[in-house]
Amino acid sequence: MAAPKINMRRKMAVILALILLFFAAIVVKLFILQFIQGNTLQQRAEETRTRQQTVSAARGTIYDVNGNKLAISITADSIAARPAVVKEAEKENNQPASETARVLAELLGGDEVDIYEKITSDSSFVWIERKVDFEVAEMIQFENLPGITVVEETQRFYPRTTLAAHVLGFAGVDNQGLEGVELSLENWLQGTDGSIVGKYDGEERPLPQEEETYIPPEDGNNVYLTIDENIQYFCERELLALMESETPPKQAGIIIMRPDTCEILAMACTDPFDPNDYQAYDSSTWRNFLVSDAYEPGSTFKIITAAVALEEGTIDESSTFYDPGYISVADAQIHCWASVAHGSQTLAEAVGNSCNPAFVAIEQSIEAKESGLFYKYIEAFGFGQTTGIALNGEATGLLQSESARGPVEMATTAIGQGISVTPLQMITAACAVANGGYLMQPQIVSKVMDSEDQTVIYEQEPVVVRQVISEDTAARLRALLVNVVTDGGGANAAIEGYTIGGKTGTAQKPEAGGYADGKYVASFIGMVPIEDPELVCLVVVDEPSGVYYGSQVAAPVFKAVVSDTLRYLGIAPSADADDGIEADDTESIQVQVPNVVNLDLESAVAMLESVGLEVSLEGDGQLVTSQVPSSLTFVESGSTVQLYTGGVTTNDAGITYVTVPRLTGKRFAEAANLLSAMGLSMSPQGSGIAYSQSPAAGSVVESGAIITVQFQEESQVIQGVD
Amino acid sequence: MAQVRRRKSSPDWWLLLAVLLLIAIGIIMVFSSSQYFAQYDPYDDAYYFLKAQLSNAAVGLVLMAIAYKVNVYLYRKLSYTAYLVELALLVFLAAAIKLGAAEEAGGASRWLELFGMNFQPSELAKIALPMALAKWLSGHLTLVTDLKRGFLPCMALIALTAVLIYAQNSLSVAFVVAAASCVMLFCAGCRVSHFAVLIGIGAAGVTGAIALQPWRMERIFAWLDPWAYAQGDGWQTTQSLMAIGSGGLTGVGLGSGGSKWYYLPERHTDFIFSVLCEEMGFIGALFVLLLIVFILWRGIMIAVKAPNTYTSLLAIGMVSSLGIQSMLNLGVCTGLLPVTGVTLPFVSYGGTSLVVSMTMIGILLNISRHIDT
Repeated sequence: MAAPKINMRRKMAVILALILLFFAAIVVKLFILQFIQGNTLQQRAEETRTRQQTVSAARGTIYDVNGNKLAISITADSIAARPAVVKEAEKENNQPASETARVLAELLGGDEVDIYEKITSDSSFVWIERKVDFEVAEMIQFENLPGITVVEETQRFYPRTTLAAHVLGFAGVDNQGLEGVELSLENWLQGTDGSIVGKYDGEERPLPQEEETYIPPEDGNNVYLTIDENIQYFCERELLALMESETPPKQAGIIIMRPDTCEILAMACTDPFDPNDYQAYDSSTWRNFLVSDAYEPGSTFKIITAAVALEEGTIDESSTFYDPGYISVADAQIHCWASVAHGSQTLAEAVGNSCNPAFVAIEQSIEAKESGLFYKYIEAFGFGQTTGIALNGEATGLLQSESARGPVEMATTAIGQGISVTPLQMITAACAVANGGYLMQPQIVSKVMDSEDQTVIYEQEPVVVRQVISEDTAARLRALLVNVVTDGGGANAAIEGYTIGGKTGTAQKPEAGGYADGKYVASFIGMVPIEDPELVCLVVVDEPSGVYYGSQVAAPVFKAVVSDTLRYLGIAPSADADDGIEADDTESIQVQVPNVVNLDLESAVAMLESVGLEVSLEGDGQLVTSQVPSSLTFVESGSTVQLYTGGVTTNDAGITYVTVPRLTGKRFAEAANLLSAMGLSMSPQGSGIAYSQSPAAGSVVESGAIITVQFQEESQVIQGVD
Repeated sequence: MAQVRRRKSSPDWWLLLAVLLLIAIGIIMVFSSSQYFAQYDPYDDAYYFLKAQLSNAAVGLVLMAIAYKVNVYLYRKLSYTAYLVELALLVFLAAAIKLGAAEEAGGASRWLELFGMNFQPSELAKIALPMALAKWLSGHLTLVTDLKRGFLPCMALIALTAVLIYAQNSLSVAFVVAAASCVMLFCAGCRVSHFAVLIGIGAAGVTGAIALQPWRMERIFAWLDPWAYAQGDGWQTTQSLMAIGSGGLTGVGLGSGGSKWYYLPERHTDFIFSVLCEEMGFIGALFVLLLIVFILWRGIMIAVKAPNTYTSLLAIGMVSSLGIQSMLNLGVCTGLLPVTGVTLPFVSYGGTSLVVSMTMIGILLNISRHIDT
């Protein structure tokens, strides 16, 4: 039978049409994907295949005003793994991941299972342990484990430990500023992180044929503070003595400023903490209360009251005041602090006596001239506003609100109660009196240099906010303040050979509903030499125990700190100074601090003790790496010199480690002798004076290691000796 | 019967040329897309898939030549036998899967070891079922419009085969075989209304299946908006779209694509077209599409001009199978269709797939020799 043939042409035409329609749709879709969405899709594809790894920038160095390093970035080794390479090695080279984990656990002292999980995880890069000891990193490097790398990271190091900790603050584990200037100057210090960009396959293996792009990090800029580490040390030494005395206060602080520029030479407060180990301290310890907290200034505020009245001419040196022991204001009686009435007094005597009724009368004379005038000046002196210092968390203090400024409130404000100010505001206002009437912005930064210390990027100029009182008024007021030290409550602040003007203050601390019983803030503010002050210093003692008057608690601290500072800065005493000190006062012995840096500990201590100085140690090495105060400074005999040590240590295994000393600025022979004395070898390059070394000073190396030192002829040396 | 053997003309050389060209492109793309991952475990040889595909093509050429040389009369004669053998193989495998489910990993038992080569019996159904259907239909052309005596028995045969293939975890192959068979029925003259009812039942079934299994709905959503599911069900589609989009007009260059670095899954099999689009661009893709359309067109022309109903229907079976599988694959790669695991004939890596596709071309070429012009 012949198979009948069917006619399918029309059906086939339908099928062919459907096929063509479908393929047309595919072509349209391809067109959309490859031309219209092409760039977006390609970019997405690139993104999924690219991995970026950050290379952190080194934070800038923080120097004191003389270029001493207060905060530096040192390299620290971190251990990381590329799990894909670890797994690959397990297959290819018979290096099991478990064995790698075992070796790492042994060297790092961690848990083997944890490490195993990390190095075999699914990510492309994983930290095993960050910032490990130098020796541990070296041993891991030596093991040459596949997929395990030692990454150099930077870490913040504060070589002076607790010194100026409240000003410096600290940076966290990711090198981010968290407190102090480390936080407020973050933009200068931080730098810009670089990165390594590379392509990886879907199983996190780096692609062999693709090159990685390296974008180098830009290191942060170096900041020079106005702080002088020696003056800072004087302050911290005295605060420590105060806190360790038999009657320690709750807290205390000192600020020293140059009134002409309002640069802060020292800013110290309790309690000390070590920013290298900030987490070991309670966060309240980190607080710089000199900037962040307000207090009632008490009698030190009378400087402001007197300044306004003199400026407005409502009183003058010939004015007299009568004190019957109290003064009635509205329906209140304001008593004088003294148990006996001061009776009739001249203005100078009233200042010297710190007589409350007299200052209330002065305030009333101001308000009599023009209502609201007193407060106008208080605000002009900067109270109630932040000073604009380059530190975070500055408090404004608290003024009486405009509606609450009744006669009683005005009267108490005149004697420094019922108004709260920060210690920084108080000394800034006092600087206006010291510098001829100019309220200035207090400065903590002197300049910013680039990361190589080659170019000045920013230089701080003095900033005058406004002239508050005339130069004449300022000079007349300063003359009145001398009385406080020569004949009044400030006698304990007197320093032989210098005319000091100042004011004591003892304020009751406010608490809910009135004033706390037996809680005071004692303070002393002084300026020297009074004719043309070069220093202004404020000492604030919060809740002193035992004696509590500013004259007894704060003034002696002022004397100790300022006398050392004057000598250190070479501010000469004058023979005809009105120092208020009787001629028969015993004269203290001054000694010059010898240079003991790079000496072994024993000879350093012997040398210091031979000139009559005490020694305090920081560090556990045998080599003195630095000292405060620095050499050639004059201090009182019996003062303490702080030594920072590093150097040679021997561990349990009998391996001797040596801290590499600083060689910059040393002559060839000097450097060679020093290194050989410490059991290190030198590989010198060039001749003249050392300007660069590797490993860096402060690195810990095994005894016998070679230190490469580059020398340069003297004229070429750019970087200063420190 | 004598008519069939009566006269022999030359085969469709153009069809052969297009197929060989497509296979050559496929071998190049298999190598390009596989060489990166083939260097790693478990292959450890960048040329692994290139070598394997070359040997697959060699086997394919031999079988294509045999299929071409065999007397067309023999096909008709052996049609039922071939189908029964295939049916036995499928039943055997399905039973083996049921019994040995504990030992065998999912999908692994699709393979039969044959002459040292792994062989997927389900692929054979693409030839065996059209042979049987063509034989029955060509003998009972008057019955095809009859629902009970024509349409339903055919549908039952198709359903049986499809279920057995599906039992081997090969849903997409089952779909291709069933759909190609339906095209044959349509061409043989089955009523469109019967198909409409069938499609209606099918749609209801699909809706029911989705309602029963919520994860199927996720698949649908992932198809409609793959970027929202890029880390899950949309991963394959988005990777495929990124690969295609990276190609532009002329592509990133052969071997230079990045999608094959363990990003695009099934890069040398189901998604090889995406790698081709990435590396050869719009122009390369268009060329391949034209080749496929050309092959389908030549196949259809052979079916139209075939010497008798049996060969005509057989040719339609072959062309439909190749066409539906190609379109399914291209639709998945470009995101037009939801993801199903199906290879691109002649281009994708895969032994059975290539060998069976080439055998089908051998049959078409054989038929083309008998065209009465």
